[in-house]
Amino acid sequence: MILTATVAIPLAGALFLAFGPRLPDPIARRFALATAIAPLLLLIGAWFRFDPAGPQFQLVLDVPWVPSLGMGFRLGVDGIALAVAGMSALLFVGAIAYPVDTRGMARQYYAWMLFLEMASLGLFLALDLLLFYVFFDLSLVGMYFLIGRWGHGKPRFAALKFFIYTLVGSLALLLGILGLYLATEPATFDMRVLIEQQVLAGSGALAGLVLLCFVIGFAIKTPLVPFHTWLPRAHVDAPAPASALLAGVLLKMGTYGLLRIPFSMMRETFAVWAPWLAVTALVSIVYGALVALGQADLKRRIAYTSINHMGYTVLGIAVAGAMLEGNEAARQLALTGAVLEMVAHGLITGSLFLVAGSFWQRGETYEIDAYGGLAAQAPRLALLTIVAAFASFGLPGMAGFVAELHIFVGTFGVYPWLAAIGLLGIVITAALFLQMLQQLFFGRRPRRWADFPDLDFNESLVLGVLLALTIVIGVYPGFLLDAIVPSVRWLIGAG
Amino acid sequence: MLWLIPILPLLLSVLLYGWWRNAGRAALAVSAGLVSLAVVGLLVAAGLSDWSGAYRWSETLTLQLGLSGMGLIFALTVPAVAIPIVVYAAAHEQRQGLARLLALLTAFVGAMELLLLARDLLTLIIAWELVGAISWALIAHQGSDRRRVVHANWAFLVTRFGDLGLYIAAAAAYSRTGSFAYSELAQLDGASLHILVAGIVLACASKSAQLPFSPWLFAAMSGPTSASALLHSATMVPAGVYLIAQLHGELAEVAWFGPLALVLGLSTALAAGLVALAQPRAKRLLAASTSAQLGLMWIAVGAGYPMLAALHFVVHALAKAPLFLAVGVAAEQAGSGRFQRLRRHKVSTGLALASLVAALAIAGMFPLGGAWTKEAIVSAAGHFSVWVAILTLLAGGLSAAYAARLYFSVFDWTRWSHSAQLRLERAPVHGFAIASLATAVLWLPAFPAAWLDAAMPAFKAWELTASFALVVSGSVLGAWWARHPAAAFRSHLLINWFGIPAIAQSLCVAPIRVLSTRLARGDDAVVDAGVRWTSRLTTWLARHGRGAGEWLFDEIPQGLAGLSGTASRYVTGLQTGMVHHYYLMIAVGFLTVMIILAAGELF
Repeated sequence: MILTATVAIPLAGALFLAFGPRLPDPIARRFALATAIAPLLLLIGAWFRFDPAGPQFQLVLDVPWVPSLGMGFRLGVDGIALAVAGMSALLFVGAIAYPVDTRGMARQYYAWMLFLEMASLGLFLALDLLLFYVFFDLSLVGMYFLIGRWGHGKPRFAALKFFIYTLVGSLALLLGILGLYLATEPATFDMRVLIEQQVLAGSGALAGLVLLCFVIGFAIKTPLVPFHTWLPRAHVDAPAPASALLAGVLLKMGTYGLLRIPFSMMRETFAVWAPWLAVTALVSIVYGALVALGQADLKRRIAYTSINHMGYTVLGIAVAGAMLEGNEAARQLALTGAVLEMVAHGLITGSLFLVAGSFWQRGETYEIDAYGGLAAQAPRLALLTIVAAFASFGLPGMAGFVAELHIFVGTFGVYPWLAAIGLLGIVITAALFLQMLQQLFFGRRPRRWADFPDLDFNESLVLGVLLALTIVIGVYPGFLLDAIVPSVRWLIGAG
Repeated sequence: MLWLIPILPLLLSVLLYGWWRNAGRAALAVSAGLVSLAVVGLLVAAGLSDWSGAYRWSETLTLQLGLSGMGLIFALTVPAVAIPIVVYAAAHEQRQGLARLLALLTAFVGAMELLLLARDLLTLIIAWELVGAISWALIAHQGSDRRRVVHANWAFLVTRFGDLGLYIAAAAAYSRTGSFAYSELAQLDGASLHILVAGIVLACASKSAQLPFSPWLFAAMSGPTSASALLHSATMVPAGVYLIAQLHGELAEVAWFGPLALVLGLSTALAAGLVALAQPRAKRLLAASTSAQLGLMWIAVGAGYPMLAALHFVVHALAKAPLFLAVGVAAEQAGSGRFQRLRRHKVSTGLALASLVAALAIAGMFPLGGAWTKEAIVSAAGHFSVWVAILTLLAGGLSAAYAARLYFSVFDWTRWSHSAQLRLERAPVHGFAIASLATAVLWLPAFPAAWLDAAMPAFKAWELTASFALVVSGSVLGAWWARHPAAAFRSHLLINWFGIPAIAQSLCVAPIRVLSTRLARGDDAVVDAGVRWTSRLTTWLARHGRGAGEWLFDEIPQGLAGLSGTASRYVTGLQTGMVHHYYLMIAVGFLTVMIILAAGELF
C-alpha cells in the first residue's frame, strides 16, 4: 500500500496541476514541492519497515491485471530498489525546489516534473516486467517535454534526439522482455517468478540474443560508450533541474534494469558475457574521463563524467555476475559498490548539474573559460561546487569514495587488470575537476561578473542537503549498507 | 576512544571557523594552539592507557585504529610541531582568509593523526587522500593568483597518481586475506605480496617526494609559509616515510624492497642535495632539502632500521619548520624570497641565532641530534657496502653545503640588527631552536637504543671522521658561495630538477591533453556520426518511399487491376457463340496440355 501511494501521489499531483484549477506560479511550485515530499516521506517510512533479514522482496503488492497473459500490477522492494528509489525521491524534491525560469508555464512544468517522478519511482518499485517497461517508456515522455519546452539552445532537436535514441533502446528492451516471457511456462511477467525460474538457462544462442537485446537497451539508457552521444546534447539544452534528474535518476534506470533483469533472470548467460560487458564498462570509464577532460563547456564536461561514473557501476555489476559461484567476497563488494555508486552519482552529479544551472541563470553561458575568480565574489557557490567536485572524483569522506573503493577492490578480486586500468580514471577525473575549479573560481575575475550574485537561500539549501547526505554516506555508510548488503548477497547467490 | 584524536581537530576546525573569522590574532593563536595541545594530551592519555578504536562500515568492512611505539613518536611530533606553526600563522599571515588557513592547518593535523593511527589499509587510504586534499586547499589558499592554484592542482595530481598504488595494494591484500588489516598482511605471499609492496612503494615515494616525483614539492611552495612549514616537516610529506617504516616488517618480506628503498632514497638525497644547492630562492632550497632529508629516511628504512627513520623524522621536523618560518619572516621584510634580495636586508639577531641552530641541525653538525641520526644512517648504509656509505656521506656533505648557503645568504651575522621589539611570530622559531638543541641528548651513550627498545647501527670511527670532514668542508663551501654569489655554480638543469617537470609535461600531461581534445572532437565527429547517418538514412528512405516507393506500391495493384481488366475484355471477346470456334479452342487446349505433359516427360 505504501508503495502504491508512493507512485500514485505524484501522478495525482501531476493530473491536478495539468487539469485542475489554473494555479498561479508560486502556488503551483509550492504544491508540487509538497506533493514531491510525500513520496520521500513514504519511502523513508518504507525504509524503516524494511527488514534486512527478511525475504528478498518486501512490501509486495500483487494485483492481477490481465491474468490470461500473466500481467499484474506488482510492486515491491529489496534493499537495492529502496536505496535507489529513496535517492531519486530526494533528488526530485531538490530539483523541484531549485529555482528555475519556467517561462510563465509553471503549472505545466511542475505537472511534467511530477509525472516524471511517478514514472521513475514506479520503475524502481515495479516487480512486473511489463509494468517496468511501461514506466521505462513513460519516463521518456516526461523528459521529452521538459527538455523540449523548457530547454535552451536547440531544445526541440535535443529532445527529439533523446527521445528517438532512447526509444530504440526501449524497443530492444521490449524484444528482450518478449523473448523472456515467451520462454516462461506458464507465461508470466512476474519478476520474482522469472528470477526463480532462470528460464533461458542453457538455451545457447537464443539466450545470448535475448541478453544482447537487454544489454543494448540498457546500454543506451545508461549510457555506455558507444551508445552515449544523445547524452551531452540532451544535458546541455535541458533546464538544470531536468538535467539533474536525467543524470541522477534516468541514467540509473539503465544500470538498475541491467541488475534487475538480465543479471538476475539470466545469470548463466550473463556470466558467459560478463567479461565483454566489463571491458565495455572499462572503455566507458577511461573514454568518458578523457573526453570530459577535453570539454570546454561546463555541462558537457559534467555530462561526460556521468559516462565515466556509470562505467564504474556497470563494471561492478559485470564483475558480480562474472561467475555463478566462487569468489563471493569480491563479487559482493563489487555489486555493493555498484549500488552505492548509483546513489552517490545521483546525489553528486545531481548537485553538479544544479550548480551548472545556477551558472546559467547568472551568466547565460556554460563556457568554462568565460568565468573566473568567483571564489571571493560567491563564496557559498565556490564552497559547494568544490565539495561536489571533490565528491565526484571520489574523495574519502564522501559517498563516491565508498562506492568506488568497493568496486575497485571487488573488481581486483576477479579481473585485476581491469581494476588497475580503471583506477587511472580517478586521476583523470581529478584533473578535469581541478582544472574546472581553477578556471571558475580562481585567478582574476573578468569585469563582466562584477555583480555576480552568490547562491540564494533555496539553492544553498538544496545543494547543502544533497551534499550533506553525500558526506553522511561517506562517513557512515553503514546505514545504507545494512539494507543493501543482504539483497546483494541474495543476488550473487551467497545466501 | 582513539577516534577522539583525529576527530577532535577535524571537528573543531569546522566549529571554530565561524568564530575565528572575527577573532583577534591573540585569541586565534591561543585557541588554535590549544587544539593541537589537546591532541598531545589525548595522545599521552592514549599511550598510557592503551586505547584502541574500531568503527564498523558494514558486516565485512571495519575501520581500525591503534597506537604502536613508532606510531606514537610520529603522532606526538605532529601536534607538537603544529602548535608553534599555528601560533606563527595567527601572528604572521595575512588577515584575509586567516580563519580558513587556521581551520585547514588544524584539520591537517587531524587528518595526519588519522593516517598515523590507522591500523588497516582502508582507514589509511581515507586519511592519505584527505591529507592530500587539505594540502591542495592550503596551497591554493591565495587563489586570486591563478598560478598558485595551478601549482596546487599539480601537487595534488602527482600525489594522487601515487595514491593509486595504495588502492592496488589494498585491493591485493583484500582479495587475498579478505581483510584490509595490517595484522593480516603477514599472510600474503607470492604475486599478491609483490603487488602490495610495489603499490606501497609507489604511494610512499610520491607522497614523500622521492624520485621521480620530487618536483611536486616545488609546486607546493605556493602556499602560505605556515602551510609549507607544516606540510614539509610533519604532515603530508613524512607520511610516505611513516608508512614504509610502520609496515617495514611486511615489506621486507620481499627481497627487493630494501635495495629499492635504498636506491630511491640515496639517489633522491644526492640529486635533491644538488638541486637545493643550485636554487636561487630560499624556499625552494628548503623544498629540495626536504626531498633530500626524506631520502636519508628512506635509506634508513631500506637498511632495516625503521626506528632510525622515525628519529630522523623528528629531528628534521624540529629543524625544518623553524627554517621555513624564519625565511618567511625575512622574505616578507625583503619583499622577495630570492637570495639576491635577501642578501641586502638586515635580520634580527634573535631570529638569526635561532635559525643557526636549525641550520646546523639540517647540516648534521655535532652535537645536535641531526648529526647523530645522520651518522647512524651512514652506518646503516655501510651494512650494504662501503660505497653506499660513502655516497650517503656525500649526501650529508651536500646537506651541510646547502644549509650553510641558506644560512649565510639570509642570516649572515654581518647584517644582524638588534631589535628589542617582542614579536609573537618569532617565539615559535625560538621554541623550535630550543627543541632542536634538546635533541643533542641522542648523543648520550646507548641512549636511543635503550630508550626506544630498538636496534641501532654501531658507529665506525672512519665514518665519523669522514662525515665530520665533509660537513665542515660542505659548510665552508656553502658559506663561501653565499658570500660570493657570482662564483656560485648555476645550472638551469639543476634549478629545474633535472628537467623532470618538463619531461613529465611532454611525456604525460601534453599527450593526455591532446588525446582528450582529439577524443572530444572525435566523439562528436565520429561516434555520433553513426547516429546521424542512421537518421539521415531513415529520412532518405522516407523521402524516397514517399515518391518512388509509394508510386511503385501504388502502381503494382493498379497495374494488376488494369491488366486483369484488359484480360477479361479479351476473354469476353472469345465467347463468339459459334461451336466450331469452341471446338478449335478445345483442340488447341488439348494440344497445349499434351505438349506440357510431353515436355514434363522429357525433363
